Amino acid sequence: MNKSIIIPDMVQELLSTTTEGLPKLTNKLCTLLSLPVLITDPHYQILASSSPSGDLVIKTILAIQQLEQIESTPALKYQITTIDSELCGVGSPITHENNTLGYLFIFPKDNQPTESYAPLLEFAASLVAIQLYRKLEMRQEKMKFKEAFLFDLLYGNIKQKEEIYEYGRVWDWDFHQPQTSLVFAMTDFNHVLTDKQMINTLLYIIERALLDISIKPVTMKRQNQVIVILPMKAEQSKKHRADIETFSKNVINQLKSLYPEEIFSCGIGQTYESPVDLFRSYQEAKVALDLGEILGIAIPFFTDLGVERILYKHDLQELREYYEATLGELVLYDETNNVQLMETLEGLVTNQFDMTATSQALFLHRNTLRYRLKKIEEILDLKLDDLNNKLNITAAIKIKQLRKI
Amino acid sequence: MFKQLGYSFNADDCIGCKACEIACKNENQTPAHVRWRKVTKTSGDFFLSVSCNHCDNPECFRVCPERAFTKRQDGIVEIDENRCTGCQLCVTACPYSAPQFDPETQKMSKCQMCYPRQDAGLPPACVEACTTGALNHVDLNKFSDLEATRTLPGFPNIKITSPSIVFYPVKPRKRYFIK
Amino acid sequence: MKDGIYRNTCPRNCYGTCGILSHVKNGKLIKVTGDPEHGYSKGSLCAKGYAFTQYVYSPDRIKYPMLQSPRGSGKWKRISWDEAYTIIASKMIDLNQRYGSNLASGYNKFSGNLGLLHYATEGMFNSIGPHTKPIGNPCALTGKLAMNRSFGESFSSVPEDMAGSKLIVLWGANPAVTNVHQMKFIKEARSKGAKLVVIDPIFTQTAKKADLYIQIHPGTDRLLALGIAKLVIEKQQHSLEFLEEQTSGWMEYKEYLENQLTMDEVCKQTGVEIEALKELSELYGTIKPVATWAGLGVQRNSHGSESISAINSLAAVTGNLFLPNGGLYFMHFDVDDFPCALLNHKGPEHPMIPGPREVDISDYASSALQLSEPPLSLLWIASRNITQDHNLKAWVELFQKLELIVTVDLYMTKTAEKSDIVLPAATHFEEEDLNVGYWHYWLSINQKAIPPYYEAKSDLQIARELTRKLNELSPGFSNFPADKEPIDWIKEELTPEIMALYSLTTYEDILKRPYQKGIQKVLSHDKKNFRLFSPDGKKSEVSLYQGDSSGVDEYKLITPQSLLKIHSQYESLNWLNRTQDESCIELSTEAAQLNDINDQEKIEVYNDQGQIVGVAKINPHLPKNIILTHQAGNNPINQLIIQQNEEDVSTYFYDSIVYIKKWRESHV
Repeated sequence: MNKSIIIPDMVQELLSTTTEGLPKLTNKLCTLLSLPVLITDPHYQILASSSPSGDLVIKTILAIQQLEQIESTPALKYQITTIDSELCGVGSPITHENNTLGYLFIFPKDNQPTESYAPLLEFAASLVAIQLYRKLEMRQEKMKFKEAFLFDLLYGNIKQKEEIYEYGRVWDWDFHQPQTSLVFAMTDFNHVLTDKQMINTLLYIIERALLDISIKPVTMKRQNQVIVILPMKAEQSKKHRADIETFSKNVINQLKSLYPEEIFSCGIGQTYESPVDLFRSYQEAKVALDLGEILGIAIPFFTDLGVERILYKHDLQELREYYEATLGELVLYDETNNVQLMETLEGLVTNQFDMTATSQALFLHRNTLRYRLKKIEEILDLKLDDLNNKLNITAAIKIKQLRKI
Repeated sequence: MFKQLGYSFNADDCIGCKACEIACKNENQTPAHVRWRKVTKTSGDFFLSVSCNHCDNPECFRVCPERAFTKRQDGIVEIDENRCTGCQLCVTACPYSAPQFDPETQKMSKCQMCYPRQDAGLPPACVEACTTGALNHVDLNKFSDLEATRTLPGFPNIKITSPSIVFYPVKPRKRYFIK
Repeated sequence: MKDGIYRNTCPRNCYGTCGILSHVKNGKLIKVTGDPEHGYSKGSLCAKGYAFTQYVYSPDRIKYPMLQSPRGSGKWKRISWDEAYTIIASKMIDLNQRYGSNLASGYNKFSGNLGLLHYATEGMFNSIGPHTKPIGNPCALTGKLAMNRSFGESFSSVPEDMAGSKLIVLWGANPAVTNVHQMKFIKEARSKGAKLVVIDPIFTQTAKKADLYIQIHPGTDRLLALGIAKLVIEKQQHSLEFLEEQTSGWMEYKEYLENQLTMDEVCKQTGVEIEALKELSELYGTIKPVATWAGLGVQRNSHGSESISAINSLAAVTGNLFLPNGGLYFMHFDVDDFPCALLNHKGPEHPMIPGPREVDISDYASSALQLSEPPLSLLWIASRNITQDHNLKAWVELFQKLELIVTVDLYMTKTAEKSDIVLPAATHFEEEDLNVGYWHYWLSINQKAIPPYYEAKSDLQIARELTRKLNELSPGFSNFPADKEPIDWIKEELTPEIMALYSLTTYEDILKRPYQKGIQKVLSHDKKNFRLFSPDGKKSEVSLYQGDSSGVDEYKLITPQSLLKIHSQYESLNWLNRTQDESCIELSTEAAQLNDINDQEKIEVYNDQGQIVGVAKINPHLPKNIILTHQAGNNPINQLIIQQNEEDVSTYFYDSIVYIKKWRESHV
């Protein structure tokens, strides 16, 4: 055998890096060509880059423009705009079974003929494809496993906390700290018309917001919801609630600005010491979410909704009777005299019986408000400063709001 | 990957024959007062056949001090009788009266959607018994039908629990009564 | 008995005759499921069927033979089967010696279990020579004879074919309660666009499902059917060719409709407005195929025969009679195709008496009381709860005169309570049998799946053992072939003709699945023989409905079966009937106002036959002159039924007049 098939050294060297990850492959290609190399995902987000000088050539891509195709290859010429420069390069799509997994770019010097790089670029792209596909597979595999774990965690199917700790370690999640469950949802969600993309965006925004406050996201999509498990760090216990509120507001605001025509809501469960009780927090979050929607509370905490929960569950007929007994006279007066004293009373309750706050909220002069409240006292034949009356009226108003009486 | 098994109930096709209710007893051999499935007549003069609805947000589950309830990945809500102490908190929490207390065993039990049958590829006993096909079992994660509704008059409030059941309402009819 | 799955057949007096798969573990019936191989019930049962495990193992079942003395005292003593047989056989022999024949010994048996081997009771009495026996059929004889007059023989289309109908018209039938499996075929037809019409005085559960419901005065169906036929003919929508070639009496029928029947009369008598008549006649006249079901309710009154005939004729006029997926439904009597070897067992001849003494079952007690030389002295009751009968007063009297009353039953019914001896009967799970339906055309086996409950025995086993005892005490008394096993009797029913009719090649086939009668044989009637309705001369009117002035305080009593029991059967099972509630008596809003009765108030329904106390339920959809109650064991309503004096008819259950009043303590 004196005639052997020749395999170019370059191919051998590139192949040797395929088990060592994308950065190694990028570096190797860069060294072999002495040219800057860049790998992106399908959305041109940078996955790896390398340049002969050692600096990263490109930090952020602002725009990529396709130029002409290089003859008889899948490679194309590109113009890439970054913050501080415009580069001309040759790129090849990284594909697997007709799916584009990303792009591989090299940046020849101005005087070099780009066409000669095309075959090598194609070969390197196929090596990258193998790596990306394997990674994708692993991620999907892990995701499946992760979702199953989170489902079991959120539905209380794992009864031993040690088991939960053990599972958590797989994704580097620490469940030793107290945890709170948050639920974000699109309202008016229809099983039939799920907008999957919107839920993905919701998830993306939430995960980014978590990373912004340096929390490793523990999240799950479920139908129209994204569920967040939020740890409470020991030193933060006092401002935990405020942190959650800020975080939730931030997420909701971002969603609102992205999809102004949609309605998003959230609900927050209680904080539990042991992860075996997390399922309660999750159920509580969903109860808070539903009641929040009915009552128009932006960031509803389950803990704040004690009376509301009891009232909501209570026998409707009995609630009607109670409402009728407490506020029936006022309703009747409003109807017969074509006035809206109930609105005034509702405003007062919403503003915790605070005259100043109420008059501001209702755009009423204090004296007008005072006059109206006096009238209400007359009609209902009671004093509004009596604590028991306040309680009864508050409960009746809550019934009205909750059960739409 | 995950299923949400549930029921679909066609009020127009249901004749109120109660075969579903008794087929459940036959399959599970529950005593008379432990009624996992119940057929009731609504004030709208049609029938409802209701069991545990294997809710998306099971309230039984949240209130149980013993963590006796679990939700399988196919959506079926189970109760582990060994954990149950019979405190009956779930009875008050459930809008559908699904958990049933047995004074003899001092335990709760409820519809488990015949999961042993389903695991063997058979429909739940109640569904098999329904001669007109009014009662069916469906995977709500895949279910889609614009004619279906989430509730019917006479069915308890579905807010909060989000029951895994969809309905088809009664259609209007022409009637000549003796004047 | 081996663990496993056995084939059983529900033997109830019901349209379903459903195939059951019995799941047996450690000799115990642990559950039942529908037999998917059964082409009619198709793998599901009804609520009653699904309660069979409770039915079999109910602590209320009779466990041992028992003797009550004195009769009616409630002082029961457990006795052995041998003691029971000895008492009964001795009495029979004693009566024979006293009167020189067995005419003093008789039985009353009806529809408690319709399995062919339950004819053992008849066979047992046949085997002792001339005796006293019931004849007739209180349920369906009127309709059966009317069908025979129309078709020359019994006729009923294939139930499964209803699924292909385009219009289904039910006259006095309520399958949603009494024949649930038919509802799936009706539903199938409707899902393909068919319309369902229900004609019934009661706004039944089936009526609620109907696309068109027409309420009618009871007993006036014939006028409605004739009225619709008149409209169809007027609009030239009738099938002239069919009428001229395949029916007889066409001209006479046509002349009657055209010249003697006015629509005013029809509307007045039926209570149906002309718009409804027009709507239904348009459906009948323009849609094909139409399935017409003449329900048993139609023939439970003195105009029943004419009504059946008029409904049949309507199906003929519109040309639907022999159309595939059209047809005419009533019920069939295919059991008559079988040898019924036990029923027809030939007993020894008597030198003087040519045959048994026959008593009309519709009027058994009164007729039996008339018997002398010898009087009826020993009564054997099987598959029957006498207290469900009408004419309860005569029964009380008869019971007083009888020397020995023996009841074979599963439960301590009110009849059993009045007997001297009760014998524990086996359920169909504890015996072999062969069952043929009277609605669908399926033949199915009933295997012995479990050992008998305590000392329960089948009617056949009892016949074998009692006749042995008779021959032991008086050799040659009975010629019953006591050595024949159940399987021998079953095989005897499966003659080569029957095997061919049901496409069976060997006996073993029937163990594998139910078999359907060859459908071409169902439809192969001589089509030329259809006789159209002909008025019988006397101008028949419904006396109760001649305007509003008549009988304001009289009510017609309608007494259908309820969903979860058949008369008293299943009544004690708490899966089905959780509380032993009082009878519910439904009355119209008008009747309630007239009698100052409130909802849920205790009221009394009465006539000269007796009285029933129950709770009033105001039914706003009930015609004002109807009282509606359901069949039940505890408060048997049929005691209010007034017996008609006609031959060759079934009981006119829906023809009796009752009165109502508030219940007062002093009445008791």
